[in-house]
Amino acid sequence: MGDVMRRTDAIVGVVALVIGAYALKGALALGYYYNGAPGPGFFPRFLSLLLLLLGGAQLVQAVLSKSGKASRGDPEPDSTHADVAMAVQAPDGAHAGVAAAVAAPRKYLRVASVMAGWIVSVALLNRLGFLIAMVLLVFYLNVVVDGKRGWRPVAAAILMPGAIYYAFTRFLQIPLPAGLFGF
Amino acid sequence: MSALTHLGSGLEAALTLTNLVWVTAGVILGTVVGILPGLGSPAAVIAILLPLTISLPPATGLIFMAGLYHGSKFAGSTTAILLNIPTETSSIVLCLDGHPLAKRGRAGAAMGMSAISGFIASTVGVLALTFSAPVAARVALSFEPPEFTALMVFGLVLVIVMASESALKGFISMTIGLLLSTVGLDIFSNATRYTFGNVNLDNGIQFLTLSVGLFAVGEVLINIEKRYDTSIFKLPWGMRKLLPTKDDLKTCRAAIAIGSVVGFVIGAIPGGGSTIGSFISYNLVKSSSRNKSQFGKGAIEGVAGPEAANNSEVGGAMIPLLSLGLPGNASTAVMLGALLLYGLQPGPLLFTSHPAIVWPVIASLYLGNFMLLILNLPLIPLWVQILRIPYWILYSSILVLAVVGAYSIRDSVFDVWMLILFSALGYAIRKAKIPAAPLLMAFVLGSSFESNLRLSMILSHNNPLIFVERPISASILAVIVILLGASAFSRQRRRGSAQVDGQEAQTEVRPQVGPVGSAGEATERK
Repeated sequence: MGDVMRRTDAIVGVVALVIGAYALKGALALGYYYNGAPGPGFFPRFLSLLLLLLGGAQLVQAVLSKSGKASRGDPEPDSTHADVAMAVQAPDGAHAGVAAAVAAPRKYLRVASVMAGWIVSVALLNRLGFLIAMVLLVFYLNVVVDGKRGWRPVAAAILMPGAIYYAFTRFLQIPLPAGLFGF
Repeated sequence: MSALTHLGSGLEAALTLTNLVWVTAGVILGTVVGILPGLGSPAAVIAILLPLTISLPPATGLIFMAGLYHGSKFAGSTTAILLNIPTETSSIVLCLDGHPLAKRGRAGAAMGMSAISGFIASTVGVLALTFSAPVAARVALSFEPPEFTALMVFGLVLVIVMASESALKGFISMTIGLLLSTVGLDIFSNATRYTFGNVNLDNGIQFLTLSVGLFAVGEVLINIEKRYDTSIFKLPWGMRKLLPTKDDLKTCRAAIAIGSVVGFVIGAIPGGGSTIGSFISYNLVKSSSRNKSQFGKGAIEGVAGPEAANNSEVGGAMIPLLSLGLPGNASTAVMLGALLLYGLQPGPLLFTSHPAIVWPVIASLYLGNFMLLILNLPLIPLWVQILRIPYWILYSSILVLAVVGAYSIRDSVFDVWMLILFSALGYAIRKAKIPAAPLLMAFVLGSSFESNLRLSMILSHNNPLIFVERPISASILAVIVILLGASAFSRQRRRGSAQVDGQEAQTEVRPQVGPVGSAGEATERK
């Protein structure tokens, strides 16, 4: 699995190169000097060149490193520190809340589902208002993504956004997006 | 000794029953409001409750503000430790060890240590201010743009050295953070940079959208790869297990001492601020600790050191405020507000011409810290109950609170979109094992770094040698070179010993279990 980390490291290098190239293009369009002093392009130009250099070094390091050596001492890329924390929390293996180990594609699907729901709810903020959009989001996360049944997910979906809405708009007088219904 | 007498009379003036009631109210309100997203910074809490503050008599208003300040600062530490949400720049470093401690069931200990080390450091800060103000003011005034630039470089180098397994990835993270800090209008030329023609980006990227996205939601996205029916945090039952132990206090003695000194010194530099102080303190504590390997995974000293720096900085920050009228951060902004309530403009003569007002101001801030300790230490076991909430409820709450926090910065849905973008970035960089702290720290220091760099170049007529020609900046740069050399050397040594260990492990395992690959499996089964 060191190959996976090596590939990830190579991708990091390529992404850094792309960002660096784009930033350099933007920096070159800005003036290096302004009234005889360093201009708006001065700092970004140095930074983008530095990023290009670092991205190149990262890519070379990933390509040249031997298989399995790239991530020496690191855990697997998919076993994040959250997983490590789980191991620390439940040394006796008594972590009843954890479902069986989740296959890699399925865990990305879970993350994608949560992000998709979050994005849709934010897109609806100005139309439906904060309260309805967030009630729908929490209901979707609890019931669709996490498969919870019964009164608890419904209560959480109504009470939690409701309490936040009340605390901000009434107690602190801080406005939150109001939709077509006025709240 | 006259300074000590002034401090004593200041405390006497601040210690009335009415003031005690108001400082208590301030601490409670500051904690409750500060724990809400988007309002975690002391400046935001004070701003929200300003209508109430200015309706009070000046002395009472001032002490109420001191309570609000400390309450909200503690709330910021609470969200950083419990939920990995750094609501202000100085609490970024608290996430590094505070949240891992919470994951290990020691959230209460981390919060308690934050309050205790903060109080001790605050005492050190006030005493140091009392005795060293005139000398410290002279040193502080010798800092100009080249010295600040060197100081910023020092802070950034420390972040990379400290936060990263891979120095290269730490550097990449830092450079991206610096690039993000350039987004928006350039204050020197008024040119827009990297805004894609979007006016919402003219004022730059908001700290809260970046910090909450990178740290809090990034972490949530990693956690939700699995499905949880209960809480993911292990929390012991019983009041005693929820507070720091005597051993914790013993372990943290040196960390608190280091943090107190570093915080005061950095705070005394105009514009030094608590962010850089907390990072320097963290790094010094880490390098002097016997448990270096525990840092980043939940070392209690990693909470005590930076929190001490965060609080003693208040004493140090009085020096530029009172001598130059420069409020470098939220705490001194509170003080400035307080002095303005009295109708006084801070300046070089304030310390000597109006001691009867300056010292009660300092005493009030100290009293606020004391009340925080008295009130919040017993309440810590209550706060940590948040972690008992089943994770499916907790993570959806974090997402909703993140939306509120991002929106309420300037009532803009655009900032919520930025939050989503940075959350995805936070998830991606965690997967790629890129440390997030250098990015956020570089973003925080970026604009100040650039301004000071450009001002230095203007001062020297574009001659970069200015940084090595001036003694203070040259000394800081020399320390940076030594630090980088030492870090490279220790990395090389670690790598060498890891290789030796690996070879030894292989020779031990091979005869027993056959192929090397199965050694890991054998360990797992145990």
